[in-house]
Order: sequence, then C-alpha cells, then structure tokens
Amino acid sequence: MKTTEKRTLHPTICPYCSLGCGFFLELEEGKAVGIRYMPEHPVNEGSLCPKGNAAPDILNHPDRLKYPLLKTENGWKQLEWEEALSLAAEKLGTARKENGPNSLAFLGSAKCSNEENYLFQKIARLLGTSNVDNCARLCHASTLIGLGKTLGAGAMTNPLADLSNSDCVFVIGSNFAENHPAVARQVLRAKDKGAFVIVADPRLTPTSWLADLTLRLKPGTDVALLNGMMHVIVNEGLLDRNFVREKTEGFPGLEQALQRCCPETASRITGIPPSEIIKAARAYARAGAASIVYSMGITQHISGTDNVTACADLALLCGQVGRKGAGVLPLRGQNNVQGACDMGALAEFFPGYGKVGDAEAAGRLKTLWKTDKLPEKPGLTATEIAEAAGKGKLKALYVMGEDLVNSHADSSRVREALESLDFLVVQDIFMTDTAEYADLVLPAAAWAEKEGSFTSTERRVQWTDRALSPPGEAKPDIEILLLLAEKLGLGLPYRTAGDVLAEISGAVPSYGGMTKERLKKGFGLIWPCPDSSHPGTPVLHVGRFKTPDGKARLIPVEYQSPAEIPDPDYPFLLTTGRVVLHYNAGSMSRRSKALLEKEPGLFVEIHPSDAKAMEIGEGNRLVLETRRGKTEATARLTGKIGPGVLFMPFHFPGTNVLTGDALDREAKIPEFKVSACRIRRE
Amino acid sequence: MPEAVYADLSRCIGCRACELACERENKSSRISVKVLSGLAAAPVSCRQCEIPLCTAPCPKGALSCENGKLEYEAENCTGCGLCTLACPFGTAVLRAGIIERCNLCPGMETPACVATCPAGALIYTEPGSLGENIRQRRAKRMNRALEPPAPAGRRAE
Repeated sequence: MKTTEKRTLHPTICPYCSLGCGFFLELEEGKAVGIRYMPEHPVNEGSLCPKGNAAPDILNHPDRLKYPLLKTENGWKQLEWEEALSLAAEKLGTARKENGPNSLAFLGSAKCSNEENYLFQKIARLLGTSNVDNCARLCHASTLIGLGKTLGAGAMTNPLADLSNSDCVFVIGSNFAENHPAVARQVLRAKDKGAFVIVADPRLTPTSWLADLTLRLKPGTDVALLNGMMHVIVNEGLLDRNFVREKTEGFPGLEQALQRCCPETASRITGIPPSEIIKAARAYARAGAASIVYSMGITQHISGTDNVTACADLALLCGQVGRKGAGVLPLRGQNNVQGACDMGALAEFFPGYGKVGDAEAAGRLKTLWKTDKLPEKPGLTATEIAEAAGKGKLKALYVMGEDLVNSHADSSRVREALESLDFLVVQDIFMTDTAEYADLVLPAAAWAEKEGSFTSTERRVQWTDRALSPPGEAKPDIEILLLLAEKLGLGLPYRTAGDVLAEISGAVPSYGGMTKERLKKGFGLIWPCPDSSHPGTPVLHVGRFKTPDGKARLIPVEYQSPAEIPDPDYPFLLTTGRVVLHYNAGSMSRRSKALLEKEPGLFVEIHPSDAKAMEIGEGNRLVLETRRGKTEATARLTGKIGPGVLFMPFHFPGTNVLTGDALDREAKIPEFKVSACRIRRE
Repeated sequence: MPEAVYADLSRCIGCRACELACERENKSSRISVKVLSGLAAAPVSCRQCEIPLCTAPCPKGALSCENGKLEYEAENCTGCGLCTLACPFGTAVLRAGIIERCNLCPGMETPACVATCPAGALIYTEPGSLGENIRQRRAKRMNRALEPPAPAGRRAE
C-alpha cells in the first residue's frame, strides 16, 4: 500500500517493550492504518520487532473500553464520568476515614507516562499512604537495589548502541533476541568488529544462536557461575588492580569470599564444565571493553538482588564500567518501567529515589508539594499489596494499567485477594482479567491517544504527542487522575502533561533540565540531565560512581539454592519466560490477530528424553501441577531445554497459576523462574 | 542477476517481524520464516529468478516473464496451482485463486521485511555481492583473533 495524500505520518514511540523504538503511525481520517519506519531513530534504526509491527492493532481494537463501567448484580452498567469519579472519590475517602490511609493501595503502571505515574504516586502520598508500587517489583526490583548498593544507581549504565563498541558481550539471563529484538543488531555489529559473545541461559534460545560460547547453567545457579568466574579472574591476576584500588571499596572481603568458589565447585552447582567457566572468565576480563547484559533470568529469583550484585562485582573487578563499550546493561521490561520507578511509583522511594523515611528527602518534597504531612514509613510493595488484600488488611485498591491477575505469581491467591477487597477500581484500555474483578472500570487512552514522556531502558526520556483520539469516552490517564484529585479535594495545580513535567524537573534531580520542548527535539534526553543546558549523560559512572564518596562497592554474595527444588512429588523444575510474538500478561498482544495466529496458545517445552519416558508426544495436552495450582498446556518437545526442566511462556493466563511467591528478601521480587512441578497427560 | 531479498542466516533470530510487516503491507505474508534444527532460522521469499520456473507450466500465460520482470494477470489465472508446484522454493502461494508472491513492495524504497528486520539479517541486493560481504566480515574477525589479548589492568582509557 502506498501512502496517499489522505494519509499523514505521526512520529511515536513503541508501546511494547522498554527499548523505546521510534516509528511513524500512518493515520487516515483519525484512524491508525499503518506504520512507516524511522531509520533515523538511534535505538532501532528503522527496524521493528513483530510486536512493534502489530502495535496499531491495539488502537483500533473493538475490545477497547469506551465508557466507565460499574459492576452491578445485572452485570456491567455504563456510567457518566462525573458519576464514576464521584463514586471512586467517595469510596476511597470513606475507606481512608474509617480505616486510615494505609487501608488504601495504589498500583501504578509502567505502561503509563512519567507524568501520569508522578501524579499517581502524588495522589497516594497526599492521601497519606506510601502503599504505591508498580510492576517493576515483578521484573527489576532487584536491579534497583543490587545496582544501587554497588554502583550507586539502579539503571542501565550505557546506551544500547554502545554495545556495538564492546569487545566482549556477556549475556546472562536475557533472551534479548526474543524480548528486545533490536538489541540483536548492536550485538551483531560488535561481533562484526570481532567481539566475543557469551550467552549464559538454561535454555538454548535465539540469543544463543548469536553466541560464540553458550553456558547452559541449571536454573537459579547464576551466583555460583559468577563467583566461579570471579575466582578465576582473581586467581589468574586478570583483575584491573588500578581500577579496584582507586575506584572501589571492599575488595579484601570479596577476595576472601571468592576463595571458596573455584570453578570445580561452580561446575558442580551450575552443571557447566569448569573449562567453560574459565574460558568465559578470561574472555570477559581480557576484553578491552566488555558489557554484561542481563534481564529477568537474573532478577526473578529469591536471590535476585544477589544475582545483580554479583554481576556488578564482576564488572567492577575487571574495570568494565564507566567507559565506552563497558557497562552493566539490565534490559528492563515495560516501555516506561524505568520512568515509573524514577517517578517514585515505588513503596520505598519518593520521586528521584529519596528513601521514604529519610527526613531530608521528605522535607524537600514537602516544600515542593506545599504540604506538611507525608508518609513516614515505606508502604506495601506490589506483592505485599496482593497479600494484604487477601488478609483483609486493605479496603480499597486503585489499579492503573496493570493486570495483576496474570502478571503476579500464584494467581489463584491474587484472585482471592481481589475478591476480598471492599472496593477495586481498574483503569485500563481493555477489560483485563483483573478488571473483571473491579467494582468500577475506567476506560483509558492508549499511548498514541495522549501526550507525555516515557523513559526507556537506556534512560532515554522521549516525548510523544497525541496522534489520534481515544475511542468512545475513554480519557488519557492524566485527565482521569486530575479529575479524581479534584473530587478528592487535593487541588493539584496542573492542566497538561507539560505542567506536570515542569514539577517533575524540580522533584527528580536527574530530570532537572528536562522540558517538553527539549524532549521533543531530536530523540529526547538521557538522564541524568540536571539543568537546562545539560546535554544528558549517555554513559554513567565515568570517573566516579554515584555513591556519596564516588567509589563503588564490591559486595560478596553467596550462592543459595532456589526456594523450591524438585522432589519426588514434584519432580520437574518449571521455569517461565517470554516468546517473541507475545508481550507480558498478553492483554495487548493476545488481542492482535496477526500475533495470536502465529502463537495461539499456552505451550510447555519438555525435553525429548523426559517426553519419551512419560510417553508424551508433540502436541499432546498436558496437565501441569505445582503446590499452588494446575493448568493445561500443549507439549512441545525440544532439546533446547535440559532434561528435568520445563519452560512455559507467561503471556497466557495459565502460567502464573503455577508460579510461587517466595520473595527475594531485599527487593521482594517473586521467584518466577523456579517452581517444582509435576505433569501428566490429559 | 536480479535483486531480491536475501537472508544472512548467521544473523536471523527467527523473530518473524518480516512476516508481520509483509502481512500489514500486503494483507498476507509473502515471506515465511522456517526454523530448522531448533535454532537456525531461514526466512524464505520469492528469489526473483532470472528464468522463473513458476511461469513455465502456466496454461493461460497469466504468469509470464519479460526482460527479467515477472508479470501476473489475475484475470487470466485459472487457479490451477501448477506454478506453486513448479517453484523450487515454495514461495508462490495460491490463496483464494490468486497467486501471491513477493513483489518487493513497489513504491517503497526498501521492501518492508528488510526495513523492519531487527537483526539486520535481511538484505535487498543482487546475489553477487553477498559472498563478498561475508568474506570481509570473516576476515575482520580472524584478524582480531590474531591480535594479542590486552594486558589486564593496563588498558587505555
């Protein structure tokens, strides 16, 4: 199809993953009819993954929510906005008055803009509770804590394009070829220049296809592998002594702890031959510039924070941080998960990562918000919110753009928890499984139907303008929140997203120099950007770290086994992850006909030897059962996973019925990646 | 040799973005990604053959080739399907009585599948240059492998 005169092109940012890829939406008579590529965009250089190609399907979808809906005995009843918002304000107000502010909880959205998340947490905190969190708790909470305590900033250190300058790319627990496909072009570019690529993953994935060395470790044994590599590096004198001496603290402790972690020990735990651990260690340490790329294979464990810490230790030990091509790159999940965290939609952090409970951070915010009272204690995290609701400790929950029924672990318990709430508001673009439990559903605008800024995984803050109108009476989340705030009597002084951004630049130091006008120019700004003349900071930790004394911390961590390991009752180890054609809880990707046709349902990968022993054939329906629940899936036989291991994508409702909610002690992220499981043929 | 869409199999990550892009632009996908032995992914589309075998069996001349350019006249097509049998790559697909094959997205500078490829695995080129590209890349990598490793701890900032 050619672009005719009737069609206009509108630049936008992809609403799916966290890479922040740019493209043009093709519009005709106010409808999104196609896509044109944007070769000049620095992240994706014109390319788009299958989900990006299918993004307009969301905008035109017949399932979109169009009117506020109230649950009644006779099903859903359409409401006027005025009535709906008055009801929401009244219910929140009553619960607060009768049971105190901490009987309320708020789940923000890593799919919504910075301005919306800022406003959302501000409303929660002005109402007197810090029970506000977002789905980062389920994907990279351990990154915030782990990188925070080692490097001083819980974010990706180098931009994605900088990967092409690496001489060694060490990928651990990330299947970027499926989950962040545009990263592949940068890694391949590095390879073309001679880089050595190591991929550590229990499964063979399309990312492994790009590797020079694949390390197939047992799920949940990442710390053992990383410690084993560091042992080799220290023993063979491959560490960067000058860097360790001048820029870090804590080496003696780490050195001592590493003595116990020889490659043979690491091999026994991980299942990787010692020679490969040594090879990986040498390749990483000897490279002129090396990067570590990791994702949820590292973070979603009870040892998530330890895993992240070990990654940072490895990089620091070899001086592979703070230079071109050298860094630690956590690939985050949602298009604005970095932003939602920066904006303080987190139980323990105010905007800009001031700790809740820290008087100085609270003081600054009180002045800015012109209030004399702010919550003094960290609130409940996303996982704790569901738990508290189940125990009847929460009365009202406000969910903005999050399908916790499908995204949280142990979803049967989440369903029970939602049922025990007095009042649940869900603001979303589709009637998700979570919205089905709501008392009140508010129809929101999708990404291209509103304006605002989004922060990608590489800390790039980009502004998108409104391209088209939302369907029916759906409203941008920011408008809904402002109207609600008015009903709650909070009197917030903004009219547009630009006004909110102006306040953000005062509240979040790294956004200090960001204005709508600056973000719209070029392809946004990479934080920290502290003042209006600052050009942004693509590479973090150059010269000094973001700790008070400028030195990074080397913190030894010890391997601990996953919370639930296979036993005679549940002999298989079930791990979960993503596939290229679907996205997270699937409320968007499962509604795209083109995507769903190619990947229509829930499947489980099983090793051919296990399948043979259990007389399971390709395509058989299996019943999978864990201590939490059971679900059905179609068998796929593949040697890409090890014997005794099962893999399921979490884009379909069945998967998280099975997963466990054992939490990392620091970051409180659930261990989605390891559950003990049994199977039988249906 | 005519230009066509080629895939560098060492780069293809099997994501099927090309299929999605083609489907959006042409209503149905004329490129398909086959995954072999678990990991190796091979996108296949019309090779734009110089002497296209698909035209040979066409009973009414609906599919013909002049000056290296494949022409298709739907009104003469009987939908017999002989062309789909004749194509050695299986890239001519008969759908609802109409032959669908890659026409390289006329009107676009680059075919949509090539433009969208996240890994840069698809190349729109004439086949003569393909080998040269791969040879050069290999040579570069070998050259790097022959360099002595950088001494740890003393690298240039």
